Amino acid sequence: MLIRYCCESIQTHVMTTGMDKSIEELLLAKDRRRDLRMQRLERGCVTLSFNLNIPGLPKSNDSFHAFFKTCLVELKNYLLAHRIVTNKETIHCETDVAGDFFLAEIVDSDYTAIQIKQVCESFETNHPVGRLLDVDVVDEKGEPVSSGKAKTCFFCNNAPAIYCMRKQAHDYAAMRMKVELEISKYQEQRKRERICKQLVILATQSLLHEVALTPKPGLVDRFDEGSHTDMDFSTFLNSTAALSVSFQKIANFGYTFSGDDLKEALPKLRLIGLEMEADMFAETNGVNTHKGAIFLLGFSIFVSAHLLSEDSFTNEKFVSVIQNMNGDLVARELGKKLYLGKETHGEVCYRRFGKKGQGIRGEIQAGMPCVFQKALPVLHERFDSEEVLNDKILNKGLTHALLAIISENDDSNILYRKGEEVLEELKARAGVCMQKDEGENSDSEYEALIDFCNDKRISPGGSADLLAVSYFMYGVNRNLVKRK
Amino acid sequence: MTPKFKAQAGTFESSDIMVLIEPVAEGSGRQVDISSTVMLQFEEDLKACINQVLDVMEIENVHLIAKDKGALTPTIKARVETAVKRSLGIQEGTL
Repeated sequence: MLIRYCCESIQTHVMTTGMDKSIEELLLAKDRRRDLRMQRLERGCVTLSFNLNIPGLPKSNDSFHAFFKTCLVELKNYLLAHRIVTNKETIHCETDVAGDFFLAEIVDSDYTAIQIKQVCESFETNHPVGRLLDVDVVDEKGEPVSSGKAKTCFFCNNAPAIYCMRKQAHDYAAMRMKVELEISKYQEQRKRERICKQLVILATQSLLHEVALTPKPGLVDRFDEGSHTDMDFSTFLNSTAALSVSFQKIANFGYTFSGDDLKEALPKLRLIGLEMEADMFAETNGVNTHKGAIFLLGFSIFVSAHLLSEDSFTNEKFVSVIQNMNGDLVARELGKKLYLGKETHGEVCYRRFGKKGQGIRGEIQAGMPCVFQKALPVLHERFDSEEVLNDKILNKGLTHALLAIISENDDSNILYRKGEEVLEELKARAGVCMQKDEGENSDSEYEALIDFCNDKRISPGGSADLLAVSYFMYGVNRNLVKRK
Repeated sequence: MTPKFKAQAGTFESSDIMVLIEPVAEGSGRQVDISSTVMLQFEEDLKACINQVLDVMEIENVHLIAKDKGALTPTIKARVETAVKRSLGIQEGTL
């Protein structure tokens, strides 16, 4: 027996109840939903619907709608993962006074309606805010499939939901406030996951693109070991893979760090850094490929994550936070004996060359001028107008940025091993290459620089680390900072 | 008044109620059957609410079946009223 419906008819007759206009509209919307389901039932399909449980009115707003959209994608993936297929052509998805609503028919399913309902229930149960989600399954005969389980009230988490609903046990304003809070907490968590994931991707990319940049003066690249004998391209790939694991830890730590003083994060950051060094050495047979990069990228990921969590990231803010966190790093770590035993290379450099020998600590203390004043402007100029950064574009832009860094950077490694004169010559040569970058002789100048480094066995590893950080900072600005 | 047609109003959507009405012979009285996802303790409330609408509309002989999905009082009243009107033929949308 088929009963016909007329959904307009309820509208005009409110004799006994004196029905509220909003309830009338709500019931009409529900009638429309039922009609949509009926159309699909006539084709003999199991239907699946999804809506949010929103107490009170309005049933939807921008925040609810965005949440609904997010959860709908999750639901669709969940169904797909369980090989429950919906007919894309007959999907209905709209927002009306009854709120956001999705309706689909299940096609060619190996599952019974009850099994589909069980999958939907596991989706709700496993979802962090599953209590706000309502996935209903109606079988081929038009009967709603029920698990028979009574959900507890999301507000008091005590009585069955239906009990509190019928009793009107809770204040609507309070319930809505709780719903909004749960949704915003969930969206905040998703934002954290998205940002941290992106930071890890960028940090890993930065190391990969740095080593892949070819040719490079004195450094390991795709085809050449430069001035090195104990490492090659694969050593860097192995090291990068090892470090990428810990980037996630740093990003999460930075994003969730809530202390008043970021300096309080330093011991834990150093601890992660030491673990990364051990991982690196384990994967490189004891060769130091990325010690400087661990230090620089570690800080950069931490501070970026922290500022992005507060929506307050700017390059200027980043620089001032890095400086505040490190304070007078040079005097503290190079001016006095920090490690037992013989002087470190850094300490020797600082004792012999003073300001020029401050190395990476000096660079940090000065707010990474090589990155922000030298390399980043180059990368913006080269990359901003490009939609996709392919190998050719990356190679040109990163080479130019590397030269900008080398021409400025007092790399303490070179200073220690080769002395001041060689360092100054390297800086000057890099400066010349940069100026001729667009000119006719650019290739030959660059080749001469590479030969110079190979002959003198110079490896501007410190500049390579700064190039990686520059790529990372460029990526943060490009991908994660809202353009104003 | 006595219902003349089979009729129904409402849906199986959450927070709604499906009301079915079957005409019965004059003098058979009221029979109200309820199946609810709501706990049994609300059955009497639900019945009272339905009877109230039937009283106002002066329906004495009827078989009414309600399948409740957690509807609130205004919804229940509106759905019962529409179902009754359809069964009386004073509102469109009946069988």
